[in-house]
Amino acid sequence: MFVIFLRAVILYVLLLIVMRLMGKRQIGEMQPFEFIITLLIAELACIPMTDISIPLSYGIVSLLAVFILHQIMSLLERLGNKVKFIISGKPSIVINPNGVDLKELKKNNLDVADLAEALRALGYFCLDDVEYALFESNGKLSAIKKDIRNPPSLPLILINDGRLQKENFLIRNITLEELKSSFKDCFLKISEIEVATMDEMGKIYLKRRNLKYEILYYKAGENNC
Amino acid sequence: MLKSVLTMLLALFLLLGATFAEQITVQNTFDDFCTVIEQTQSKLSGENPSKLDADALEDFWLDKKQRLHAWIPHAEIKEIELWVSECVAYTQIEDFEEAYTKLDVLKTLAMQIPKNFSLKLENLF
Repeated sequence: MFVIFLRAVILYVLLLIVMRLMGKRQIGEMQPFEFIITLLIAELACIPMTDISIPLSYGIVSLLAVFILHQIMSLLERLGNKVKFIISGKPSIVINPNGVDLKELKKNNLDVADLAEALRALGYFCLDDVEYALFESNGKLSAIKKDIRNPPSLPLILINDGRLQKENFLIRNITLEELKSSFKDCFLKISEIEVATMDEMGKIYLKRRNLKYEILYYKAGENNC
Repeated sequence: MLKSVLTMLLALFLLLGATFAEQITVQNTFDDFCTVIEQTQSKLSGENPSKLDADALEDFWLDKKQRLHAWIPHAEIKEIELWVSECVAYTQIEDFEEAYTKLDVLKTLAMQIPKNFSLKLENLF
């Protein structure tokens, strides 16, 4: 009995270390590859914990292997959006100012009933209560409430840690050159930009390295300096 | 990112270390075990076999199995122990032919077990 207790203690401590190293995302909302790892980890720890005919090293090695896989996947995700989209998928905008986007719902194997159910869980009982609704890559639905007086808009990431998100530039109908010419100093060195987002109204959130964030407003055709 | 890479490399290094340690320990232990089995067999098939001829085999196994518990399933260890015990029992009642037969089986097991832990396609599936 004491042997099982000790094995449980060893594996628990090891799990704790591994989960801490994996980061808070593992405990909170999970991407698909993290969900798999979480499922696996529980089984890998449980079996050698109670079955003393299996060497403890088998559980430890399996946990280490899963941990290494997790780190590799996390590193691959940081390589770029394309890799991240392959591994984790991308958010789908299922409600936009034009209404429900059935195509996006079908892409995610969902229907309007699923959407309505998810909206109700967020406290929205009518489809026109929300301006935008997104199914995130972890399967959760996010929604922005409609406000007629102050219509919300969806900020899209233009620059992420020095990397241009070209798709979002196209969606916002803007080019990097236009940004550079409008805000001379701000977009000079792209590698220095940690985050830049832009919504439909032209509001830009800009955070450069070692500087406080700035809010800029872009209007096409105007000198925004 | 650096922390992720470092921890990953450390885990990989530990894994590789453990892999090599396992391969070397298991292979060497069973190689030595095969040698002891052959020595026992030659004693039993010799001119003057005695009740005590299998004692060296038993002592060797009792000494090595403690370390093996960390690397191979305990069910495999139990199986070897069973055959060693049978061999020792037959030797003690001076049924040397039967003891020799048990040693043959033991030798096959001792040669086979390390192969179960080597990197081969059949072991992956």
